[in-house]
Amino acid sequence: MYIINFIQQHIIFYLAIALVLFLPGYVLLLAIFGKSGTLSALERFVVSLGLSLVSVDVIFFAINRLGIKIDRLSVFTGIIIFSLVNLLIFKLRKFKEDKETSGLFSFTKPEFILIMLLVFLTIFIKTAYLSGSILPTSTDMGHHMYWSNWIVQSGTLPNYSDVADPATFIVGEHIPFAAIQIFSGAGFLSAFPQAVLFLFNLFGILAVFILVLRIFENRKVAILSLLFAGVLYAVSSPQAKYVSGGVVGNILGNFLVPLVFYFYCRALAFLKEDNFVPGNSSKAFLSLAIMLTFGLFYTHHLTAFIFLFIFACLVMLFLAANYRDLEKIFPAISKIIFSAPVITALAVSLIFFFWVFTPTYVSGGAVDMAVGVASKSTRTGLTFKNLRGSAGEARMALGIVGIMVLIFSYRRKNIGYAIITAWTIMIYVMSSQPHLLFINLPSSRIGNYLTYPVAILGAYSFWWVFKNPRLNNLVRAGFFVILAFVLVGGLSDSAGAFKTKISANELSQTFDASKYLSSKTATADKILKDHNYVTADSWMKIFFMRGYRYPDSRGLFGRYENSSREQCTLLMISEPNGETAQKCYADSGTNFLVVNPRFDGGQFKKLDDFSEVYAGPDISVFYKKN
Amino acid sequence: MNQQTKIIIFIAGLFILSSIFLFSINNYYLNSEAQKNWWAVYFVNPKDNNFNFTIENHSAKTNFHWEMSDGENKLNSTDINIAKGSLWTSDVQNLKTDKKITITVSDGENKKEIYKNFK
Repeated sequence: MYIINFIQQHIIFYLAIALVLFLPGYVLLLAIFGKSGTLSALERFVVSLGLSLVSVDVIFFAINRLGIKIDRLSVFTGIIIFSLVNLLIFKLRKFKEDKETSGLFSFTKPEFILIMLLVFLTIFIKTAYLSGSILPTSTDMGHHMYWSNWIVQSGTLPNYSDVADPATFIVGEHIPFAAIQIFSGAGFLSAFPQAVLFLFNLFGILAVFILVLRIFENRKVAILSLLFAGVLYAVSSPQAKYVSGGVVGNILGNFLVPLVFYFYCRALAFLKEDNFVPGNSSKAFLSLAIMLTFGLFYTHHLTAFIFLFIFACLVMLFLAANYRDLEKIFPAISKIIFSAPVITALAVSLIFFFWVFTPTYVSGGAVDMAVGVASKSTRTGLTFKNLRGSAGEARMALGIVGIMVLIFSYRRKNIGYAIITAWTIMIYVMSSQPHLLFINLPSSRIGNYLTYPVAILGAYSFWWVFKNPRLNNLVRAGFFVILAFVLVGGLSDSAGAFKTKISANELSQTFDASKYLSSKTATADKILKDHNYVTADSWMKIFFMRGYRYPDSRGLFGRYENSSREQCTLLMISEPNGETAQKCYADSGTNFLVVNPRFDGGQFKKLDDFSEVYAGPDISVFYKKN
Repeated sequence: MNQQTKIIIFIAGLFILSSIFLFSINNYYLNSEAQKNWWAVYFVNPKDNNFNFTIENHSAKTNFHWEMSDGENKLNSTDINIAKGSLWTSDVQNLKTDKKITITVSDGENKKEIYKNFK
């Protein structure tokens, strides 16, 4: 019986993924390109996930705007209507046969085997790491899954009003998890959130692969990019560690960015030709690029913010490199920009963005907070040493060689070269010299985005050095030494994946105490838990579903050093008998406290107005009679 | 079957295998009694003056002893056997008191206390 249930649950889970994350994008591609060879099968596979992500967002916004409850029936109906409309367009339209992909995706046997091997190693290493961190303990994931569960339970989209800063969350981070849960019924405490994030992480690497293949039109460079972006440093941030850590926005953003670049690259690929005549599909590609760009805005503000800077840089770089041909380039680009599909895509995106569902960070003033003089020491920029650490020391060295090689062999008419250059330079400047651009964001978060451009540059430089007949053997030998360091560094990073040991002891106590409290208390009861010493405390709110700040939390001690921050949550646990704490108890009505008795507990046992009502080795619950 | 279809099937198949493995690991560690080694004691009703309590056992120890006292007198005590993965709930009489009533549970090695304060 258990086996049958297990199989049944998994079949439903993968069908839910196919329905939510592949079907909408696949049928959209059918409606736009038919079955022509404009996109290879592999490209359709990778791109479908990104387009589905955005399409499902749109379906959710529409359902919410119409005042219909978000549930299995409404979302299923929305996806089916969306799919049928696209299929109808596909049936009614006549498509021109486009054979531009011929050859590029036809791999030789050794290349094919190498791709399979690299994909296997990528998945194997990441799975090994994730298996050691699969339990739901990550703080970020706990917060995100609360909101996904909120969508499922309330049947509407959240405006994050009970978050101190509503701009912290963006609805696009929560819709995919809510949608899959609605269809599959998978529990938020199961491996499902990490499995879905892992899928996006994997497809981010595949998106890099197809982008590189289109830019350099060289299968070897693309295959090497699989090695540098997928296999090497497969665990370190922002790879598997971000999957297990539930850094949802970064993972989704790192998937969408190469995909958006892929579409811009394809839309403007005609600029490589001397006659500057747009291809049959340029307008469609630009429309999809715009759609995905807005999808990115709905998914993660930091990635969107970085993307805008990169985009501005690449436009300037491309125009500067082609200043002699601007008279021809502008009319050619205008032809596709001012076309019906592109204008429609832009108009629909803007209507959704400003009138149907506006992301919280737009109205919340988050943009103002992200721009200006650095407000914290963590925002003043990373040193070169820090950057080496975040991108992988040896891979960074290879990336530096790569950018020099790219500039040396620069093809000014290929927009892809401008993309890679702008991607690298802008993230480097934003993370190391933020004052130059008046950016006030955590520098280390930005530095993590260097991974993919550096991996691409590493792949390109590797290929270039070994294929260039003019280089002498000494240069090759020097490069080989760097490469050896990259391989050793990249693989030793992954070696840690096989050493992890799981313990569910503390976690199961937290969940047990949460179940106890959720069944014994009501909304009128106020619970305060400790974030410092209680394992997986951020997941407790999923057991209650009584608000994002329920139970309230004693945050990390360092956060209270800022005197402007409220002190009640600290003092009610640390000094419960103090005058301030007593006033806090009276004002807030807090009557339950969840602490780790190894660190806290003694202070409550001394007081007559507290009762210890739950005692476990790592969790104690105290009740205060108000 | 062409190369790209093979690559797509390979990626999808590996992802499915990987996620099935991750689901199994998660389920095993989160729900399997074999992975837990702790026990807890808690009041059935934390807010009122009812003193019934539950011992929830996820440890290898199965023999427990509990005592109820008001700080001066032992009011009740019993030895009980609770299998791993099981709960046991007491059935004690309500008391009218202005003292601190403490329940002490021991597995022979470790002790845990819960109490209600009526001082």
